Amino acid sequence: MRNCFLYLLFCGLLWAGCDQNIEPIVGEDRPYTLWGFLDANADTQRVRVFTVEERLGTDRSGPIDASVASVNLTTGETIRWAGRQITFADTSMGHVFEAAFRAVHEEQYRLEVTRSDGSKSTATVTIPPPVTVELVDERNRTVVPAFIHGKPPNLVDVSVVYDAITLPPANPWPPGSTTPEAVRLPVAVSYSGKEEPTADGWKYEINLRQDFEEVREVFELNCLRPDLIALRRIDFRFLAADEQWDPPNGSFNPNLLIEPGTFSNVTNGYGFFGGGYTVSTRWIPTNLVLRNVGYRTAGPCPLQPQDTPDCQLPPEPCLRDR
Amino acid sequence: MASRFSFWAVLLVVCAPVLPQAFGQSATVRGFVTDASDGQALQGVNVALRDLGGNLRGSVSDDDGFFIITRLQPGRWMLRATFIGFETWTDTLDLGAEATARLSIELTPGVEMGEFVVEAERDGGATIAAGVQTVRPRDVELVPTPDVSGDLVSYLATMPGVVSLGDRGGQVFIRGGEPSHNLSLLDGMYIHQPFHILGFYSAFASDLLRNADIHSGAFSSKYTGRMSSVIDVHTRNGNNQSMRRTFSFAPFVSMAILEGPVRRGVMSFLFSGRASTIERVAPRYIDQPVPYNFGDFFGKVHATLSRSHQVSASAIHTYDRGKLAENVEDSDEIRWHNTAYGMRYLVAPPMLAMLGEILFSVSRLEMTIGPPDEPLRTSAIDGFNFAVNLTNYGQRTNVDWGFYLRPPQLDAELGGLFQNLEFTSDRILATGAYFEPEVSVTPDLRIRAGLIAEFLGDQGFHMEPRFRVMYGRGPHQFSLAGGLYRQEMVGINDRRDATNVFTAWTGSPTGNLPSSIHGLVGYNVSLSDGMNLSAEAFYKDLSGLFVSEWTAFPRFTTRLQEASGRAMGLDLRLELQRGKFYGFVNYGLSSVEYSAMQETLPVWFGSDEVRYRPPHDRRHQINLLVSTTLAGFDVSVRWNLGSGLPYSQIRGFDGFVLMDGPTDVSREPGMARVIYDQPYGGILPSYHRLDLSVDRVFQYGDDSFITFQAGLVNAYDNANLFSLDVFTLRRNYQLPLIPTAGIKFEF
Repeated sequence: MRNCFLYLLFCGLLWAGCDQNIEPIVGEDRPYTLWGFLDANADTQRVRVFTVEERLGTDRSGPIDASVASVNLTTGETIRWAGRQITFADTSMGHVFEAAFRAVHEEQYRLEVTRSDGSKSTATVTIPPPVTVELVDERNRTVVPAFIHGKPPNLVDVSVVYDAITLPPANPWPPGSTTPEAVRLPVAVSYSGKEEPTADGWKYEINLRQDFEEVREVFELNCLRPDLIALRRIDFRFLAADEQWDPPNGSFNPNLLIEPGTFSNVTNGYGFFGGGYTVSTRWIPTNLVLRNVGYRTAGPCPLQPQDTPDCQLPPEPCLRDR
Repeated sequence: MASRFSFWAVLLVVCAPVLPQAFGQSATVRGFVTDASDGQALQGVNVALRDLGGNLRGSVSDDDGFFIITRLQPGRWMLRATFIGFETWTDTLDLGAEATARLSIELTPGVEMGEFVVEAERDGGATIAAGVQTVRPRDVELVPTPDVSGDLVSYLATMPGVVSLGDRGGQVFIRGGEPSHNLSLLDGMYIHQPFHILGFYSAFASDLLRNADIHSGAFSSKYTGRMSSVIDVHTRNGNNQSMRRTFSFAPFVSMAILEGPVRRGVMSFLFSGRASTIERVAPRYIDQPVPYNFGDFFGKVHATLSRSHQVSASAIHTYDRGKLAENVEDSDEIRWHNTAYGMRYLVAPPMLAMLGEILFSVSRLEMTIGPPDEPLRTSAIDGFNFAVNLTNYGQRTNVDWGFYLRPPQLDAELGGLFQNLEFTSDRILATGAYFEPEVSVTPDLRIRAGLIAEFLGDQGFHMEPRFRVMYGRGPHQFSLAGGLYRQEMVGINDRRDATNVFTAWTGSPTGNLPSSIHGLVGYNVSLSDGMNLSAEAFYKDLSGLFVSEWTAFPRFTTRLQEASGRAMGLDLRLELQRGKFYGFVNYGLSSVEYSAMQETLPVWFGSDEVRYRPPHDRRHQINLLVSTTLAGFDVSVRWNLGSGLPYSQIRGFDGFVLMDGPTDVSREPGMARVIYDQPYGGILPSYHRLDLSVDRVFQYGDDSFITFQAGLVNAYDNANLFSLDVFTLRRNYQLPLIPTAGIKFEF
């Protein structure tokens, strides 16, 4: 029986000795990850190219084994893109390829990123048709109807940006100190998903009064007095996007979209390369509308010190007249 | 006195309709068996009664040394209490009708053995009955450790179906259950994180152990609040005859025990302290940082109030601190400490064929990770446990029943570990009662069926049925057990990182309680004298698990998601004892699978459900232990082989830019991204290690001993992987070959 135990030990050791390989990185056949879009309003097109590597990090300093070309599938024109290395604000480096041309509405393009061994990742996009935006009596309304004429497949990042600013009081606190500058804080209110279909496009109802509450919240969060908000102008903007620019569940949730392949139109690669253009229109409501909504059109001059628990700030300076 | 009488009177009235009637014209013999030399309770003592007509009745003492024989015909009975290594106790009892003889049997150490014995239910390292294995100090001492004394966790690691992720971290998985699914009790006190940061040690030092019942699954109704397994540890009492001191010194840990009588033969105390020395000593002779600091302090006072009443008070404090990641300099330090104190009152009421215990304890666990003065994450459990456990004895039916109340306070601050769970603070009420009769249908067949009625505050009422069937015929024993198990609180851990053992305790984040259904079937046979073989197959259906969401964000944070799963396997054990040779070999075959639903998965994995082997799914495990005496030296050898654990392989790394609008890719640096392969699709290398120890005890004087011990941990210096950082490819290995030596003084 004792021999049996020793035999078992010997056999086990033999088995154990045969099994020491470990391959944490199994490798990826797809050569590139692409991010960018063809912009019908831009004179220069750009795409960010990542190689799929065996090391972690977005920093991709050094040369990249990639050549980029776009083919206009409608006209047959091929354009070579020039690569350059960019140092981003966070000091990381990356490869961006550029080409000086303007994408044409309703034409189809194929982007090809090719490795020296011939392996390539491609993406095909169709530039959406042009649209026009019509605002109805926008200066005099607190609820502004906005009509989009034309039917691009997707509208992305539809938002109304309130270019808001605090009005500094003329009398600074404590007395004798310098008057602080006005603080400009544009606040974007999303209108994605609030569209109504019309015969030739979509309609949005931009509700200034409702949006003002959101603007107030943002100012409060930034320790700015919500009762001193003035408005410089309003921008209504969106990205008219191609058919593929449509995330799962209609939401650009990074937790979802970061999963490889979850939001991707790249063949033999990862990432997303779309087509579209930005549409923006702006206006300035009348003072009457602004006051009705809640914005200041002339700064009050509070002379009492403010010391709220949240902000611990001296009284905001005000502008007697602007 | 009056209040005590009224308590038992109320109990009698409440229980009378349902409990076995042990009275009538019959007599009862019961009592406690202790070791006369030090007052320790003796478990497994055969207590047999034979009348003049040759009728034989018998019982075996339980872990408190308690035995009871009911429904005896009035008359003269000859009592013999026998136990290996002790002189036989004999007595002649003249029992009248309705008489209850209350005995206090004190066995004197010797070598006699009785001529008629009643077999104990279980014994030995290979013997398991319906998922329960009783471990005694002598079992633990056989396992080589880098210390003169043993530790229960070293023995646990030799059991099939028990998986530890490495020799550090304090994480023990029992038959597929996560560490947070294990219930650990020390003298009835909850010890929420009983295992020390270095895998050889726990709060259960063998020098303090009386016995430990390891319930790997399908446990009885007495245990509630955990869904996988139970480690029920009972400490021994202090020596109530003479003052004893024990000091041991070893490179990893040093220990001191002081015990003795407060009142000779009646009341004793036991205090112990253990502190690690590995952080200071080991780096001098191994080329690896071992930044671990841990220890524990334990105290117990026990008093035998009368032949029917015993009371004990225990307290324990444990502490752990260390860094587990491969890069010690940059990694976060994890710390935890348990504090618990409690009281146990054991009573055999004079008028009832009953044994009862009343438990009250307070337990606290605090765990933090990060800088000590500003931890990144914290978690705490704080609460008391009150339980009454009673057993009524009949001739063919014993009834276990009782009730409990525990309202733990759970606080956790997760510091962004899980994006959808930041701060939690829960007070959970768990109270209930159980009733579990065991019927001896025939002398060979015993059936136990239990039901727990539990109230969990906002979660409402729950019922948990459990059952257990034991059938023994000759050398063969068959068992079948199962039940429903639920736990009121959740231990959340990010298992993506083996070095991250921080566990946050909280109420269920979704309201769904973790629960499981167990089933097991077992067979045990005595093949020949000294040889036992057992086999047990188990299945656990798991639900209400909480796991890390699968995400391509590299390390850092994730979201928490609900999962379900199952664990199944087969444990085989073979044990041999011949003369001075003792050995066992066991094999554990196990398969654990988790299943999680996630909206992000369909594109990547083709389905919104991902099924994977969690990182503790060790498919095969072999343990071999041999112990013998050579030239006066006790030699122990233990070899352990475990097949590789699953880990997630990576296809590569790229970058992610959120294209939620007209993003200018020349300005947006993006985020690092991991392109994972199938979850836990890779297998780490197998784990195997040989440990040796040699020790010899020298006696000096009448009652003093010196033990010398020497050993080798990882004797052939196998490079066992503890963790692999797939982002940096850094490997973190378990302990290399370490020679150890120790000395213990007992006087």
